[in-house]
Amino acid sequence: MPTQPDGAKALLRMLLLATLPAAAMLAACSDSDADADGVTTLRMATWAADSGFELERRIISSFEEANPDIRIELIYTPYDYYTEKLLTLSVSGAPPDVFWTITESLPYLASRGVLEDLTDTVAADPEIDESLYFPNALDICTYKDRLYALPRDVACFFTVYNKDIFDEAGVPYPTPDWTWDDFLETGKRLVLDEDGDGRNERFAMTPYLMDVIYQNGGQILGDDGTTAHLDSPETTEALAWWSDTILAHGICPKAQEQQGFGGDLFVTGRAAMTFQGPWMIGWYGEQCDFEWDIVGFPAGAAGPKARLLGLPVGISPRSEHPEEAYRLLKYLTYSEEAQTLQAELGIAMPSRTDIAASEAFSGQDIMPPGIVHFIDAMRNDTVVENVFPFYAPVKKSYQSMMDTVNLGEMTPQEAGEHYQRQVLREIAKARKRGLL
Amino acid sequence: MNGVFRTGSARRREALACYGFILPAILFLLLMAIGPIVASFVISFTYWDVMTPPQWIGLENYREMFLEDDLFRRSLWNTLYFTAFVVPLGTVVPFLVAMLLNSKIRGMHIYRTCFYLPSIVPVVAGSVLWLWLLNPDLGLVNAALGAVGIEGPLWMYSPRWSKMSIILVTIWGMAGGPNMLIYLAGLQGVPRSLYEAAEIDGARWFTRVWNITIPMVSPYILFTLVMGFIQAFQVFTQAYVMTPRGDGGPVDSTLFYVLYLYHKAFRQFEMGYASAMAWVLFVIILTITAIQFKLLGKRIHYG
Repeated sequence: MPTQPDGAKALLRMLLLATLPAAAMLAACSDSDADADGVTTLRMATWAADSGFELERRIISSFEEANPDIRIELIYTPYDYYTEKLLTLSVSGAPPDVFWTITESLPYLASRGVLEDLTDTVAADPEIDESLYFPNALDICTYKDRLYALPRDVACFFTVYNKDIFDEAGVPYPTPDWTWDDFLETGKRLVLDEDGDGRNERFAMTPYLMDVIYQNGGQILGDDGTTAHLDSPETTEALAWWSDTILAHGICPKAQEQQGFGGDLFVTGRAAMTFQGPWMIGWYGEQCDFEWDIVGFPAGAAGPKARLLGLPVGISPRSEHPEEAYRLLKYLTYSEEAQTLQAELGIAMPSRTDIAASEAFSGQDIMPPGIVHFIDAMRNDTVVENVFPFYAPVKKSYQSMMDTVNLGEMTPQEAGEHYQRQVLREIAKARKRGLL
Repeated sequence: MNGVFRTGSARRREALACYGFILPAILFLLLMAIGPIVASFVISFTYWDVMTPPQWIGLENYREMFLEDDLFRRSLWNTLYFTAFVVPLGTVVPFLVAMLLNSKIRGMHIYRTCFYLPSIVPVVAGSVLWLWLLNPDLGLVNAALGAVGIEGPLWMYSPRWSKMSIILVTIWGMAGGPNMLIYLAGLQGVPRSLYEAAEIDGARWFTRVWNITIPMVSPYILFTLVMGFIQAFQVFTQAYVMTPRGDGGPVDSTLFYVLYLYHKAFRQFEMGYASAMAWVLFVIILTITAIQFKLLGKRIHYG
């Protein structure tokens, strides 16, 4: 008679079997970057995808060549889930050493201890001359007067115009000192209703941008985050002005008209102008079979203001290799080599003024002559949005405000008042939760 | 061998082995379902952003939800609106399709396949497809409407039509979907003799459907109704896919309850608030389900 396994033993065996896979998984998750050959592995997070990822890899490779003691593991996460993933990694104790940061999330990440405070390190670093960065570039890396990142690239929107359409319509090209009034005058002469059905087939401009609010001296949140200005006369006026270009003058397309024509309205010649950033220049160069050039924004009451956009890169306070992480960070965001390389590879505009103005960026063959106006705008006309840890719901509110006005569902005053109340509630809540 | 009579210790051994076998499943249930459910209830009384320790704030999340949060009310309204259309249509349309597909004609297999096809299409793919069909200027739907002289609406671009667009997409997916299959199986289980008897009595088609078919498949209808409400209240994917960045636009018109819950949890990192929303949703669904059983339970004919 075969002996039956003892019950308790059987139980134990089964428990072991059940937990084995879990144990194996845990073991696989644990860190193993202490290499025997003295090479440190740094993990770096990015949202650059596909070919963009390959280009990032090339910059990283050049860093690895110069620093044979460091190896970089690039981690890709889609932009839409980026901050979420970063937080999850941080909570689970495995944050990347170095990581890209979405500007709007920076205050939140800084206030939650996900970003290392770099203020003293950078101030004490004799190699870094902060004045070489574009004006305001460090502001998008700053929260409550402390520096939490360094800017790898910066940008702002500008106007791109189709010279052929301007010539055909007999309209003079926009000049760097053009204004909102000029924009309206120009725009009305550029629209075209080819089949006479009362609906335009060619528009003057593609979608709105919230830069118009700043061009009129408006704001969303005040400087210290305790006030909101969605219903201020400046903001309301800007909203009214822009929604009129869509609803009253028909020189800008409605949302459905944008999707309706398919593709990029500017490239297909459906829009004579578009607001875009420097990242589109290479693509327009390949796609456009017409002459085009660029110029800054038309000036509103407060000037041709443009929001400063950029890519802050930060370090995790939990990194086990802070010295190596800082070396990588400095290489990406400050070194002439990486900044030049990113310009030459067509990845992005360098955050250093001298390199942006140099042959490496502005002198490239693909650059239209108007690139100088863009550099001027970057030097003189950028504004930094006031962003706080409670920005996510605020952004939702002002986007709804702009959408509802541009759809003609609410007047700018009504929308301003309605969404002002929403944002004020968010401010009150942020105060209670210690997010202000 | 002791034959069929087992000793006490053998029985105990067997019981232990049995627990050993079900232990992985029980552990899984405890760790992955019951644990998080209990945790979410506790978390719903806190402010927790994942990064910093939770702060105990009592009923604050619930107070804010009911008294202050416009978007909570908006999302609840959007969801009720969606449910009000999708539950009745999602019951009646599949039922009619099942009746059609239950008739005895040649090539029925082909028809059944055709009607079932949409429900194999993943919701994400179906939503993207419909986004193009519903394009106000280029889409097939408005082109067809235009052909008969109707100017089509703006569909997903209008806050007035966006919910209707999502209802349309949902019903398209449901018409030949699981509900239809359930009804079809139910219909095939109705004894022919009942119809024959009714025919002999001179009952017309409608009378036969009303007095035989519907009572006979009523348990299936109750099941699909209950499941229909639960699923409708959890609508998420279509709105997430069909609006830019999953915003629930235009102007929050497709911000459904669970989409808003997702925004709260994973865009604004308010886990406490999101947990509280999940529990309110649970109570809503529980109440509606209880009411359905109470109202309809006695009228169900369990043949």
